[in-house]
Amino acid sequence: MLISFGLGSYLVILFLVNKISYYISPSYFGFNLVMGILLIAFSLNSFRHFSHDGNHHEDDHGAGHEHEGIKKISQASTLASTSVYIILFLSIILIPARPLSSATASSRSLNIAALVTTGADVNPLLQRDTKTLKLSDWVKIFNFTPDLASYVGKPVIITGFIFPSPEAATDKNNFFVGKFVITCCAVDAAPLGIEIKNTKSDSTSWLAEFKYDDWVKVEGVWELVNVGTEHKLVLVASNISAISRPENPYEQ
Amino acid sequence: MILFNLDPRISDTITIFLAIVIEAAPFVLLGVLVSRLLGMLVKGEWLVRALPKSPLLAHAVAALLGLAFPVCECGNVPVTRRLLIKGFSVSQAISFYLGAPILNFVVIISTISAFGNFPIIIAGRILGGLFIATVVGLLINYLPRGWKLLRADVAAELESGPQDCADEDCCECEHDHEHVNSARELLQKLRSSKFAAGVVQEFNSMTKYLLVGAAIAAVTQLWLPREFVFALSSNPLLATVAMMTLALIISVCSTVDAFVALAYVGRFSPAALLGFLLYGPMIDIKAIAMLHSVFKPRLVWLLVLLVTGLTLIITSLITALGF
Repeated sequence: MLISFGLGSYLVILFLVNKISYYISPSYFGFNLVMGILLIAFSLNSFRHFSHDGNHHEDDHGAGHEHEGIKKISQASTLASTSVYIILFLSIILIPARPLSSATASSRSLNIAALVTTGADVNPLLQRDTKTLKLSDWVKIFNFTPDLASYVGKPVIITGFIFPSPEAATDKNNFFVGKFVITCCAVDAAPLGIEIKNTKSDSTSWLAEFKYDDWVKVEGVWELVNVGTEHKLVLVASNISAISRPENPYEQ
Repeated sequence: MILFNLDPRISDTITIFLAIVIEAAPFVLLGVLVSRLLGMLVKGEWLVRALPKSPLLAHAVAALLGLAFPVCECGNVPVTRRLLIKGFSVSQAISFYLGAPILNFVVIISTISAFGNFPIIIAGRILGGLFIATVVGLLINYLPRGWKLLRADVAAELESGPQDCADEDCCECEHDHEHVNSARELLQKLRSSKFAAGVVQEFNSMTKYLLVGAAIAAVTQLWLPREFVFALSSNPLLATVAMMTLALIISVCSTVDAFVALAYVGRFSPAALLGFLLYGPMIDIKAIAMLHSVFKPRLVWLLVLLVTGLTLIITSLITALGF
């Protein structure tokens, strides 16, 4: 009963402190909250039954030796599972909720997510003022526009966290700014990101002022870089400022 | 909260572990509730009589029962257990277990919504799912009689009758004593402390396995980066194996896995994506762990083998047809 009560309470508390968004997609918030409340309700309601009826789980129908073995297995598995639960709760209580880090962002395939790889609505984006485009809009454009050169010099304003250059980078010394996008929960999180030129116009580097996992707002313009036969857009930032981590860290 | 300065990759593993548990636990509860309601509203005899006599049709119908009881794959295990108690054979229960996560309206609708432009994937998922669930059930049906397939406590429960028998005599008689006869009786039972206790017990029992499955899935993600899986994508067969491995590791709910697969449309062939969409709902790390709460390990691993083999056969066929 403690387990269902504990897990139910955890679900509800996460919701109340606004940390539930670190773990699952908003489309599940309502369902999770309702189930968390039900878990608490069932746990409390079951208390009466458990305190009155100590023998509820034993097989009372004529004690048999054949049930001894089952009881022993049951006791052993109760001990094992209690240990697992203790470990779970220690992790929940001692380790603060954190969204996925820059280490995972740079180790997963970049810019591959249903949000940005299905092309139906790229055209309206091409008509808009580029300063209004968000991270996922730019990634869609990268994925579907053959002529990236037309974007050189266009202004960009995006927010996200800093992560190390993945394989797809034009220059390993640069860094990326982006967010994860999730479909179901953090396990399927896919990183979206834009490459930022690390060297400033005065030859100092942005990474001297900021570090990986910092949340920032970046303003700048695009520069075209040739990588073999491919063209890629890299952002030359005019200003990068620190921002606080948003309540929902995932791109919608 | 006490703060620990953890290595980010370990912190991410914990985040992923918690995310899987937070996502799945509500569905486990839903499955337990559906299973209990099933216990109270449906008489065992009806269900067993609803299955055709022919083994082939019986297993196909069992596979299609998910259309009537839509729960996520996590919620399926309690419902499968309930069907066994109601009189389904192990093989019929398995056909249901494999079929239900694909052959239900929510998943069919989300698959159509994601893959509207790829009818071969929609048809492949529905027909392939029905085929695999039916065939695996049939094969299990023909296993030698002496093989013990159920966990000892589940087998004992089947022998002794439904848990909520109030006294010894009850269990000897023919009636299905879980069944309720009126809406009033149903409401009374739902509010009872005994019902709550049953739900809590079954939920706790399932959650044990969910936790182990979630931990293994989270740690596997840490130590087996996705890029390794994608490096295999040069050859059509290996591409399918790569997508099936991804499905195995990430253990995403079948209600939305179509959108996860959609992200890979550019990189992988329809056959490989179909591999992901057939395999994931039936076999993944979380599900393998939870199946151990009902079936003996040898049966669980036999299931993994059979589903893997049949999925590869179907996807190879699709590749050979030119997709």
